[in-house]
Amino acid sequence: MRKTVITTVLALCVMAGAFAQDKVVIYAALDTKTANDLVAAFKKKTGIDAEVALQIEQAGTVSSRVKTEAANPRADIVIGGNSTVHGDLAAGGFTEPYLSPVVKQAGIDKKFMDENGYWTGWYFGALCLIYNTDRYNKELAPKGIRPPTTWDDLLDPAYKGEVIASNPATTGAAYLMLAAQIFRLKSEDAGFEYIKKLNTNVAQYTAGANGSIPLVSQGEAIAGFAWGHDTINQKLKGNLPITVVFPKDTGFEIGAVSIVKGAPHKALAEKFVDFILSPEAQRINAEDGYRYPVRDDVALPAAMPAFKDLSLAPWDLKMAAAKTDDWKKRWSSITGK
Amino acid sequence: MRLALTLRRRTIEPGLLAAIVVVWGGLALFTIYPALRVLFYPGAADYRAILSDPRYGRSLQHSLAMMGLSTASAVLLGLLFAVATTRADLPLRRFFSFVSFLPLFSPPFIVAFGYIMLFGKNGLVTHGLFGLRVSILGWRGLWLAQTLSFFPVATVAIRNVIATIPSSLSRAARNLGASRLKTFATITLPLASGGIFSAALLVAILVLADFGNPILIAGDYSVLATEAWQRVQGWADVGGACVLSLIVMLPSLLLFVAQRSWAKGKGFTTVGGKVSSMESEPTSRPAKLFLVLACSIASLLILMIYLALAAGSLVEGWGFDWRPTLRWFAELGPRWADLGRSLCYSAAAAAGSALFGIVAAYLVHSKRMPLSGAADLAAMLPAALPGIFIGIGYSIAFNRPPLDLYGTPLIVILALGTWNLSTSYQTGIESLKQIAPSLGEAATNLGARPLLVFRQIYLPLLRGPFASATVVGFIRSITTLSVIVFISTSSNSVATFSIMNFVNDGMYGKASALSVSLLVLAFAAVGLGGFALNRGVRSTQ
Repeated sequence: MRKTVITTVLALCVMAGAFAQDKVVIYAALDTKTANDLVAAFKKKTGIDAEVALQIEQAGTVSSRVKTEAANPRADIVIGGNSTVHGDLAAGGFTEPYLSPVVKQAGIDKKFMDENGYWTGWYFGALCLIYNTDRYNKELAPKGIRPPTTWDDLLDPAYKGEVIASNPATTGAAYLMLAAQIFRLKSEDAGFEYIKKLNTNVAQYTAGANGSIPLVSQGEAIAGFAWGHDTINQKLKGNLPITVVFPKDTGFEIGAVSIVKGAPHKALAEKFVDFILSPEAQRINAEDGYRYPVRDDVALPAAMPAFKDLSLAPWDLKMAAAKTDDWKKRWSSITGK
Repeated sequence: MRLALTLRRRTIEPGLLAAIVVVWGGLALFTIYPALRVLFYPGAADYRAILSDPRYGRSLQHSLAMMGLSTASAVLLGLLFAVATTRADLPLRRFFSFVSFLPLFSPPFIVAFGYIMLFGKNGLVTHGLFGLRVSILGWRGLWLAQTLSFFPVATVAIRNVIATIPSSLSRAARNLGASRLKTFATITLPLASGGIFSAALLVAILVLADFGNPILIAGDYSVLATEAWQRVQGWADVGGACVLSLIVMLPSLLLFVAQRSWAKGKGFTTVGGKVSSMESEPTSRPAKLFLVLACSIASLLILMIYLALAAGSLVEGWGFDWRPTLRWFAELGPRWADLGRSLCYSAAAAAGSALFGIVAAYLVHSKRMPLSGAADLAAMLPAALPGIFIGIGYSIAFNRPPLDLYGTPLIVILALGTWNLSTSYQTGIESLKQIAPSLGEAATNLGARPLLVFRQIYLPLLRGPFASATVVGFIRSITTLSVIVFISTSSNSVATFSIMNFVNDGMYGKASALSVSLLVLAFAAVGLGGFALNRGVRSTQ
């Protein structure tokens, strides 16, 4: 009996060690369809084998796995999540620099790449406002309240207790929303004044970036904000009764891909990063996930507004990075959350 | 003289020695070692950052407040159900017994949508029936959810104790002229008080470490047990998450030490250790009415939530498009494999953990375990740990030689088993306390060796507790997410992992279809297991 147990354990260990020979092992913070379609297209184009060994649409959790496994790295590639998450991995020494030759060949803007070459930006995403169409039409439209199209619209007293926001202590998206207010209003004080006013209307600060989508869909509140690409995706797939609006001066992210330090298949991983910048991969990502490509030569699906129609807040990346702790603390002291 | 005898016996019997080595080795390798890895993972900066952040002071207060509230209500409701379901003459007894197992089943995220659908701002009951616009999210919702989730644990613990109280005692009291209420208050309650207190302790620890309910329903009422998860999910701060997990662990350990010192010398034993064959006292009419009414209200609430869950899997759009459909089930496709893995891993973990826990309880209880105080603590440690703590610990500890379990079923089974160890161990300890030591001593005096005593005397008496520990462990394992998220890969991922991904992808129909399938399979497995166990008992008799 004990012998069988020991043999089984040993067999399992050997199996664990043996799998993933000459195969790019991918940890993906993407939705299931995008991750699978990207890998299938990569295999077809390059003939190299690849496997999504971990797929969770939470960049923090995926990158935490890279950290706890650092003593014996399993993944070659960590893809998905924004430049903040990938910058944090690079600063901790968990990833390796790689600059793909495709960046130069395709003339991709250098602003999408880490200046020290650690992460490669491969998509662009923006925050959107959402509102429950039924509840708005029934409860607010008769009172002559405009549907929310700007950040300031959310301050209308008609939205008291009817806004779902998110918490910068628990999600990077909420921090980017906060930074967007500071940058668009041109001062820290004005930005936090906005947060203070918004706070009186907020029903709920969700922990996750997209926590508002189910709550607003179920009518738990009338309005909220979330990632535009994820919202469009969920709305279309689930036929959700919500309206999506990209407000003026919105916050945004650069989605990134990195090669894990000590990656078991580094050379193949570089091929994968090259592939991710190819027109095929960029098109899959736009069609499956509604994320903006970093190349100019990729057509967008009809559900996405043209990139030039987005209005982005003026941004100071360095300041946003340097002020993270300060601003999170000040946010917390204002909201008490 | 006795000491010398036991010492001699210990050197004689290799089976007992092996049991001790296996139990201590298991505790050291799979509980203490990963816990130490988590303890030493964070640096000083992580401790400073977390301890100086006012958010976590607030979360600690919230956690303690919920512990007080939810423990009190869950134990009260648990006691009610325990009394009701041990009364042979109570109508609907079996039904209540079944319903009390339902809330153990709380897969991540989806049950919350049941609550929101019924009691939320747009809720079918709150808004549809009463025209209210109230939010269930927050501490009130959490209180309700935790009460309903944890009272079954109290019920199981208290029922095991009540069942062992010989009805001859209360009959005697009645014959001597005590009223029914007085008999309950002076015989049943005191005899059950040890069980009630340890049920309260277990529930308090579970509430403190509870992840599933707050992540569902607490809204932005932050509690410590979910903060670790949030640190990981939002900012990939593993160090901070470890510190937060340790902070959750401390009050639980304090509770545990308090309970152990309280329980010392206060044990009640009842001779046979088994339900006495005498018919129990008939229940009085008012008592019957009260029990049935109270249990019915609670049962109705529970059933409504699970019916809402089932409804959610059978309609196009949950809460806004009520056209019926079966497509969410049809589209599950490759996720059926996850269900299979969920069942296998959870069954293996639950049975293994129940057996290990009960053997450990026997060794500790009979004082045959060297360093038994430390072993006691180690076996209770997992109850104090948030699931994510165990996940992080396993991810760090077993991802490299000599014990490289990355991506294997074994790492999941071991983690789930460890996570459930305390429940089965505590069940074992409580049940052993009810068995008079004279039974074992008599056998020993007749020349039986300790292992034989265990097999022939204790094991048959512990069959009931073993079965309930296995069922509880199985259902908890099958529905946990926080334990497995750090050790899952595409080759060993389970259903809760896919449920999380469906929710993240906004596919609530599929998420609830998978949850409902998991629920049906879990209860079918429990039913089949119970059937097999009953037949087994009958054939040995």
